[in-house]
Amino acid sequence: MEAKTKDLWVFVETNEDGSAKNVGIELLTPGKMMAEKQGGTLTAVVIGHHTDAAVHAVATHGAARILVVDGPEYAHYTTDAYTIALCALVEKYGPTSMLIGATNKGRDLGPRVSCRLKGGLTADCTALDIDPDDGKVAWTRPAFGGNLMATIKCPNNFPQIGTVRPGVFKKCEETEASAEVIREEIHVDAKDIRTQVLEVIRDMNEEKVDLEGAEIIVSGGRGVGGPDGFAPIRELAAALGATVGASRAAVDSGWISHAHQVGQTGKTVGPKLYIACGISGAIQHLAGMSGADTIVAVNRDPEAPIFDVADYGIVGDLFEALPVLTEEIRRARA
Amino acid sequence: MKIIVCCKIVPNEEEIRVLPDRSLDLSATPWKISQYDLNALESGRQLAAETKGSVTALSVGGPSALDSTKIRKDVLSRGADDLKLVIDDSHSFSDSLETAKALAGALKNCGAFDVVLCGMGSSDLYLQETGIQTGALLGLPSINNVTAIRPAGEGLLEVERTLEEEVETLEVTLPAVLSVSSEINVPSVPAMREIMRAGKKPVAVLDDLGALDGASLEMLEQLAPEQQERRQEVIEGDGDEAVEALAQFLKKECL
Ligand SMILES: Cc1cc2nc3c(=O)[nH]c(=O)nc-3n(C[C@H](O)[C@H](O)[C@H](O)COP(=O)(O)OP(=O)(O)OC[C@H]3O[C@@H](n4cnc5c(N)ncnc54)[C@H](O)[C@@H]3O)c2cc1C
Ligand SMILES: Cc1cc2nc3c(=O)[nH]c(=O)nc-3n(C[C@H](O)[C@H](O)[C@H](O)COP(=O)(O)OP(=O)(O)OC[C@H]3O[C@@H](n4cnc5c(N)ncnc54)[C@H](O)[C@@H]3O)c2cc1C
Repeated sequence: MEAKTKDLWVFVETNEDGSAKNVGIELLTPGKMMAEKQGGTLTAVVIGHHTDAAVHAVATHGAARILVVDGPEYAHYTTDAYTIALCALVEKYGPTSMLIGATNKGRDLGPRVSCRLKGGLTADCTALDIDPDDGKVAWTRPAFGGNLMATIKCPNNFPQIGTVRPGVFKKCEETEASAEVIREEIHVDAKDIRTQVLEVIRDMNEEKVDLEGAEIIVSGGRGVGGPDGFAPIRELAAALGATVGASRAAVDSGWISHAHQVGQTGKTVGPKLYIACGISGAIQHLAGMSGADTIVAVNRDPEAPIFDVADYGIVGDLFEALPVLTEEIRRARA
Repeated sequence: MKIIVCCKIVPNEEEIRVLPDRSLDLSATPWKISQYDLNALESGRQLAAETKGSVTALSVGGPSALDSTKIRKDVLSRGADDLKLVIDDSHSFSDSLETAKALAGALKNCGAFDVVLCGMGSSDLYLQETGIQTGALLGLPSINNVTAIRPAGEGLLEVERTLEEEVETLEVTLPAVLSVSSEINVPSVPAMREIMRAGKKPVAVLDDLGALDGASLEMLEQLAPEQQERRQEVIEGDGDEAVEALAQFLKKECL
């Protein structure tokens, strides 16, 4: 596809109530910088149903133009309907580049759209820039478990598309809305939607876990043995005023929610102190926490790789060590 | 039900050497089945057992990975009845769309199938896109982050898909491409009997790649992140003395 404009698009995913997902608003921040460098208009694309709240949110966070597709067929995300709508918009307006939040839906939509537009897609980016020489996007993403940061360019295809990790960029300050709003009617035939949504169960007690901003993190891994094994982790965390983190193995086992995951595919953290308990220290875990000022490890296995990156380690049973440590800390802080 | 499981053979990321100039040395890195493709193989095995179906494993990669008998046997000991390979060096770096084209081309040569199962994302690059693009190229529906699969009558599957804040139950018409989440199951360790049988199962090398148009992406730079020096003071034992020493360290250095 040819780019008809120099515009940069941010796809803004909507919630069922018509509000915008955070990551869409976050992406307007780098989007603005990139659109300026590319000399185009920062355009937000909002697809959903009853989307006024989302449109208002993007208008007050830096979007200069907003393309809105609103209709009952978009009330709940389906790959087919959203792909048809987004591709129709791209074909009509021809943006030069497009950012999509790397949520599960974004990760579903991005490849489907790029495939239809016969272009590449850089997934799960953690940094974005514009190459000053040719105005193309330089997409940076981790590879090989975080062993490597790769910077990738899409030289000849348009739009250049990438998905970007939630939480990497911060929302900008709210401003007066001055965006031009364009509404597009795109209808999708029911027969073109090949998956039927039978039921949706929402998790209302979604935990808010601020790992990125935490000064101290106490994390548990498979070594805690089960959901109850997080109790001594939580107690130590409470004594320290720390946030609870986890390895992916503990999350995949269903012992703790994904919001606690640290690592390549979880949160990247930079606390003053990181205490890893019952975590072996796989490269993908280290990718998320090796920026901590001080790393402490408690692990039964003296050979565990976590000790290679630890400042201080205890080779022993976390169920023995943590309660004693928690007592010591409580006493010191009393 | 005829099931095809796509598995990628990847360098074992735990054994990659980072060189002083922050580049990677993969020359001595052993190959393994991509971690989360083990979940796809396990799902395939379970679905085949429920539907009295069969599982074909499919992999695209270079000769150093796919010529290995050890790797082939490893795949075949995990529930696949046979293995199909597309061996081509040019796939080591292209873009996911090129890989998807090779997979789609191979799938057209696999005869009729009901469902293609992919992992959530590969251990090495983890783009999480190849399965979805393969579905798009074949004109089939695709669903990512699948956390449960249930047969739902002729030509249909009921699929659970877990998102950040919600769990969807979807009905999908077959054939379809499903990317299963790493939470969907705990891959079983192959029994001795399965390992013995694996060596006797058929392996076919497909040569028809379909026409590839060349990658649309280009690598600008690859560097390992900088690492901090660590003190590595390690104490053996979880007795009170050891823990007290740790508490002292924390009080002095961190709190
Ligand atoms: C593409 C990809 C992305 C990934 N992303 C992430 C990620 O973001 N974050 C992440 O964490 N992982 C990630 N992983 C998974 C990673 O490879 C490891 O599988 C995972 O980190 C292991 O978790 P763990 O250390 O808790 O479990 P294990 O490796 O099983 O280690 C458990 C440890 O606990 C110790 N132990 C057991 N009992 C006790 C006890 N009573 N007291 C003290 N110690 C005990 C054991 O000695 C062992 O070292 C990813 C993998 C892939 C392929
Ligand atoms: C450092 C680096 C960065 C890269 N970044 C990008 C990028 O941003 N965008 C891009 O398009 N390309 C990129 N590539 C190119 C990449 O090598 C190929 O595109 C690769 O096919 C991407 O898929 P993946 O391994 O991430 O698989 P994923 O998309 O994560 O794979 C999902 C699933 O698809 C199946 N699958 C994937 N590959 C195969 C296979 N070969 N055989 C059988 N089944 C398979 C498996 O079931 C797997 O679990 C990069 C390459 C390197 C070396």
